[in-house]
Amino acid sequence: MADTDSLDTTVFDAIILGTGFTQTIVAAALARAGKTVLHLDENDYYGGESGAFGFRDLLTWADKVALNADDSSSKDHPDKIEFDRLVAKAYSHVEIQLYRDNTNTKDKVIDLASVLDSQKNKSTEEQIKAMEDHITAAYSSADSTKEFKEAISTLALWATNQQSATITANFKSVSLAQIQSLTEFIKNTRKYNFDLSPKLLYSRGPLTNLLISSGIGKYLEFKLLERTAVYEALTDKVEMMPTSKEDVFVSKALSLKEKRLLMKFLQFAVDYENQKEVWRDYRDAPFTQFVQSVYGLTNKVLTAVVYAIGFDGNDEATTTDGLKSVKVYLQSLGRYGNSAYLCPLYGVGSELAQAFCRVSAVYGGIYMLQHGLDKHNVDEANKWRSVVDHTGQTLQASQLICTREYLSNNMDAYIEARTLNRSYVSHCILVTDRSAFGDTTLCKTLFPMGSLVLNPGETPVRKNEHTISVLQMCSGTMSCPNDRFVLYIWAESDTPNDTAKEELTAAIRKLVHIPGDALSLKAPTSSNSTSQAPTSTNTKAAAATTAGAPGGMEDQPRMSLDQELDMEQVRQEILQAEKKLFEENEANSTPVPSRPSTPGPSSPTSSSGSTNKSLSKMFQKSKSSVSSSTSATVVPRALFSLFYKRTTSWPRVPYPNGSEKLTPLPDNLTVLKPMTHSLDFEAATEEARAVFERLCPGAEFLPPTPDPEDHSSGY
Amino acid sequence: MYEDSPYPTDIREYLYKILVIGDLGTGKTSIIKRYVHNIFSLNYKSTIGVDFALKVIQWSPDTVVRMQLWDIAGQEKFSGLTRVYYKEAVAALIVYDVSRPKTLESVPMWKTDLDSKVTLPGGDPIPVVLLANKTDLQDETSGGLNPEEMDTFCEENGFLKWFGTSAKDNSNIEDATRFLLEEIMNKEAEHANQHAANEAAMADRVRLDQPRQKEGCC
Repeated sequence: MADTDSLDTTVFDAIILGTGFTQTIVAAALARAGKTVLHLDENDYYGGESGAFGFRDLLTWADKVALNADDSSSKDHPDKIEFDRLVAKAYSHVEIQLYRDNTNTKDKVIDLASVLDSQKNKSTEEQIKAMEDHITAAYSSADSTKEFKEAISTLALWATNQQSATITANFKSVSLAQIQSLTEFIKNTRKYNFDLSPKLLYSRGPLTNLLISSGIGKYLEFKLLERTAVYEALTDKVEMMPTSKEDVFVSKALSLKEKRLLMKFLQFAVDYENQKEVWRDYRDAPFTQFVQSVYGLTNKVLTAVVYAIGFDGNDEATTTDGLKSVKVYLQSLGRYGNSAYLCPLYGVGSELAQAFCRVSAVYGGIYMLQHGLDKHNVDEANKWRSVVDHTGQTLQASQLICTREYLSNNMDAYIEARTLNRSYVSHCILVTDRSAFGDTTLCKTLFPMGSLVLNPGETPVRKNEHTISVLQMCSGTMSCPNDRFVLYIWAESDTPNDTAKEELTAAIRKLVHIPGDALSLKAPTSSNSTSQAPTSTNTKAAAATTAGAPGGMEDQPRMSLDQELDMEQVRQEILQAEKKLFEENEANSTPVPSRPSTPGPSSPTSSSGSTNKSLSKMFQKSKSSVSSSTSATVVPRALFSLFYKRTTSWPRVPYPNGSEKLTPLPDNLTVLKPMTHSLDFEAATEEARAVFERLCPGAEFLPPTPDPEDHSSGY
Repeated sequence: MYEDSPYPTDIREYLYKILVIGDLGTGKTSIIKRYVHNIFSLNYKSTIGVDFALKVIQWSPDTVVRMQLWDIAGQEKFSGLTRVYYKEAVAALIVYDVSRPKTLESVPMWKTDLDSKVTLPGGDPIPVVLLANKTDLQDETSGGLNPEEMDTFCEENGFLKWFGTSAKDNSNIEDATRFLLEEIMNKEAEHANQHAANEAAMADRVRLDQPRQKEGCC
């Protein structure tokens, strides 16, 4: 397939390196504006740091980034591009866990440490071979499929590797059940779409609006995030938060007074730009402080506002930031249903990146994945001229747009010298055997900063310095097979020293049973983890509303009649606020293309009916949804996890730090920022727009693409 | 409850996405142009700004088929294709150039990439037909293979059938597409149950251009 010789031209308006989210928007926008675009990626997949993988490919990726990045040679080759080295340098603390159920006494465990001991002086290959033979001999009768053999080889590799630096897989021993579990993962490898950097979209946020106005959304399908939960340290519970007006009505977690306070605040937030006098003095003060002092919100409501509704990943949010994200949140509610967030299927960033790449390609962009690059050419005037690929072909353009891993060694050194503040994201991808939230399958959970003790039993006590986000995905998002769930856990981090595992485990413990971890939730009673359906639905739980919390399922009395009567008033207030909100939306809303241009899964119902209408329907519905049952939650068991930490360090200062001798980057070279820990893509989308507007001043950013069905003879 | 059929009579309309894949210069776009618009040109420019070509066919008195033919945007030719290109495709044409045997060598690669990225709802591979294109330029055999060898090649690589085609002479393209469409319709009938199950699973999916209406009418 790859046949570079046949490139018609080697001169372009723009060359873009890497198919990460931000680059792909720039690529689509440039191609759409008539520029000639060559888009290359060293990886064999789309999405870069937002890539999505099946199980097998995830292991391959982990192996690759776990390599020790050796800096030594970089100084000798200042103009070289060492992509693999820079990628590996960006990742640290890679750790794979394949959990073993210690309570299963029938499981046959064999020792591996002694095998390694006996092979001490042998080569790595011999060690792996001996390990493989040892495991095969113990379990050969169990299974003869090729996936079982592959599982044994994989485990042999992990077990042999455990003393070497980064992958610490802790395989001093292994059990049959573990190998069977790994076999199952390998068999289902393609049913998984693990996302390296999961995020959500606001359904009325700038990115979604762009997807609609440009027509690019037609390539994508989404699921609505169902719920948001927040961990409360005081009660040690993960509580479902009221995140829509509907929830506020029915929430039993809030008192009537709290509901009023909350509604009053939300009413203000919808229109905050016109009420500057309320928040002007708090502009740069922490959002929390403003909400507390001006609206006097109680702790519970505060948590709901600051975390469940207003949190986009920024722990240092000022009042200005906080109000902005609360407003986007409120505007997003009701557009596609009773949720503000959309989650693309098949892996979030990767899928978006591919949609933008398709548009770029349709408009003439040339794509080459798995394309090795050798070096950059910069002329005497410090203009970037060209990039040379692995075949020695020189590819020229007037502009180069890339991420940091595609820079030459000396360009990377320049960025490094300018970077004063270090930042990281700790990630964990965790597979469980059931939902951590009962019937709710697609769910976001936040562990506010300072709410968790990271080192229980030790002094001094260390708490989480940043909010930990958890996103549970399911087979509905094409993330995993039907009987599995994927939890993404991530948090910002300020230090390269603490491992991702150290920073995230405290949160995982509150949601999942981690075999061998006494501090995690208790295991389900049966040691047979597979076929136990949550059947213990008692009638009381069934009568409970959706506000029930996992972990601590406590039934609260149903609302009294008084409260329901009073609710009517609250409802009126909300309707007023709604009206205000949507009047504004109608004014700014972009026209929605009415016809689907790809085969839809089902015929749409009529698209008439304003958002207002659907909202009032929502209210009508709210009563019936109260009675929906929450079955008692059975604690999920951790089966597999992958921890990793990625640097997001980026220069904030405009000058080199004591390194004035370094040559600055050429001005026709744009380096895009690394993907941050934020919950959404809005900052990255804005960055892409800004880059495009700088490169193509005056040109329209991703105008609508014509619908091919309207072109009877256009082809 | 009302039936939500938009027509009083029983006219069925099907929408099928069909991929047209193959190496650079094998004539994918020419085949599409010939089939959809019945035109042929030796020197066309690569198509800009169009996702797919649409052909509407009156399949039978009560069945209309809208065929979307998705070219690989010419430019994704050097590498793995995007999932958004593959998704929801129900069939594919893989094209090679009989005057350049090298293009036949890439055919198994295209097929493997295709099968790894898209399947029918039940998990079976989508039906694929192999087009040995540019028969007008052919000297002796189909790019080095005789018909028996071609049959074996199809069997080994999971193609339903092969057709020698020429977009220039307008030869066999109609037959090949008709054959593929029949296959699609057969599969459709076979998988009717799975289809229903699949639609149920996808019921709560959101498309941005279709704001969801809550059920119930007012």
